[in-house]
Amino acid sequence: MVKNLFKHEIYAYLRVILPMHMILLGVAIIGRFIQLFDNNSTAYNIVFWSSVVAFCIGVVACIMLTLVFGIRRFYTNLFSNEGYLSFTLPVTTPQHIWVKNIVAIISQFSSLIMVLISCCVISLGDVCVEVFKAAGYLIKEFYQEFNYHTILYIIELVLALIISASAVYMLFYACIALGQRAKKNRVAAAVGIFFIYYLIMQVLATIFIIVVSVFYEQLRIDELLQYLFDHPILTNHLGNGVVIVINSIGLIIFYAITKSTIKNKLNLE
Amino acid sequence: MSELLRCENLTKKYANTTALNGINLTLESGKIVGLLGPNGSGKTTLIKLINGLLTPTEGTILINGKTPGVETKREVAYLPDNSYLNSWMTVKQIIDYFKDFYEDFREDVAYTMLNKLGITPDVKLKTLSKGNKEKVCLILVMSRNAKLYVLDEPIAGVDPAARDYVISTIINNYNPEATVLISTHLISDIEEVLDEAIFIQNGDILLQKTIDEIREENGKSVDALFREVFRW
Repeated sequence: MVKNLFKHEIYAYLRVILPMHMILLGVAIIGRFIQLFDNNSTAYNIVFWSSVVAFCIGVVACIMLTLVFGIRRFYTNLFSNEGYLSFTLPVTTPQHIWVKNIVAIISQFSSLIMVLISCCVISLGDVCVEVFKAAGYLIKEFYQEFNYHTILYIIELVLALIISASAVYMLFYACIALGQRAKKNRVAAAVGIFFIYYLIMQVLATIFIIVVSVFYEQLRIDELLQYLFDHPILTNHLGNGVVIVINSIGLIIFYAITKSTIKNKLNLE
Repeated sequence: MSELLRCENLTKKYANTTALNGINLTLESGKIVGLLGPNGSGKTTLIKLINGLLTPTEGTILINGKTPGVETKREVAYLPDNSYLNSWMTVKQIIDYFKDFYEDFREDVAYTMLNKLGITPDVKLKTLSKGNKEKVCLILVMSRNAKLYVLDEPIAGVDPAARDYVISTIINNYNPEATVLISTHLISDIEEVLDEAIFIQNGDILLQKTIDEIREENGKSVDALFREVFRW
């Protein structure tokens, strides 16, 4: 059943994401094509900069629309009329949540990859070659400095990215699920819950900064910073580890809220 | 006939409202049962509880001996009272969807019924008329070889000719060993096909009897008794 759930979820994404990717790629190809007529005239500059602006809008739209579609898909497929079908399938609530979350992450990463490909296409030629050369040089330098830790950093970064993306989507899922408990204006309630969460996080972060500033000496922050500065390899691992742990905690909490709300308080209109 | 559905002291409360008030109900297999009551009587709440779309506040509900969950969803075919299909899908895609998730789905039966209606598989659901969309929903549900069919207001909002189609589709396609629970307040249209009737009002079961018992004991049709019981 999970396999079928994945199949239909991926199809639902593809029908929206794929055309969007194709449009972005098309804009990149047109942008590169325009550069073939470079003659430094006013007309050329207008067309060239228009294509650059169109490409930038395309990049932002591609990333944002993938995020928005992932959130919208969760809402419409589970809490609109479609929920009557989704929740009467022989599938458990955790399966619904995780399949949606995983496919949303895959889509988000596929959009990022498509943005990178499009960037390569629009800068195809000397610029692209130079960028690749610079990236290769940086990786080489980094490897010489940190040796096998470079591989570990990459693994940690990828893991941190996946868990962070999963936690972000799960946060939206939790807000939507909690919003369903409102009698009216459930979407507005979900948006409200998201902003309240965001406000609480801001307040907690401010309190943390104030505490650290006030007790700077008692907490021996100087020594701690000096220690971290002297041990860059450990600091990098520690930084990645903190991101992974904090996002994992968030992910678990948001998942528990989403699952428990759907399981115990589901009330489709 | 074996027991298919059992509700014991089933209660569902929303904030300040009691939608179901500790009802006890048993349904046996192989029957067509009418769940009859005015709007707001608790019919849809009971149906949602049977389908696991709501959790009871108190009491238990057993379908074939199991509480609502993945196993019961394999055995219950549900038709909600609203259009619940992904409108961007084609008819063929939604049939594939049902085929993928329900092992008891009879693809050939679905296509035969669609063919009779003249609905082509490649047409998108959003381009169908409201009536045809409702018929497709019914076809999908009745193409399953389920143990319990739960149909919420299948004939409300359709013209009299379409009602006949809906009723004949139910009669001709349900598994005879299964039970069909039909929620409606349009009793005269379905009275002929019912074996049993349940009257529900304000979350309480007022009556559960066979159609023959109702006619013999009261000397009137179910429709006439309904009008008498639920008179304003």
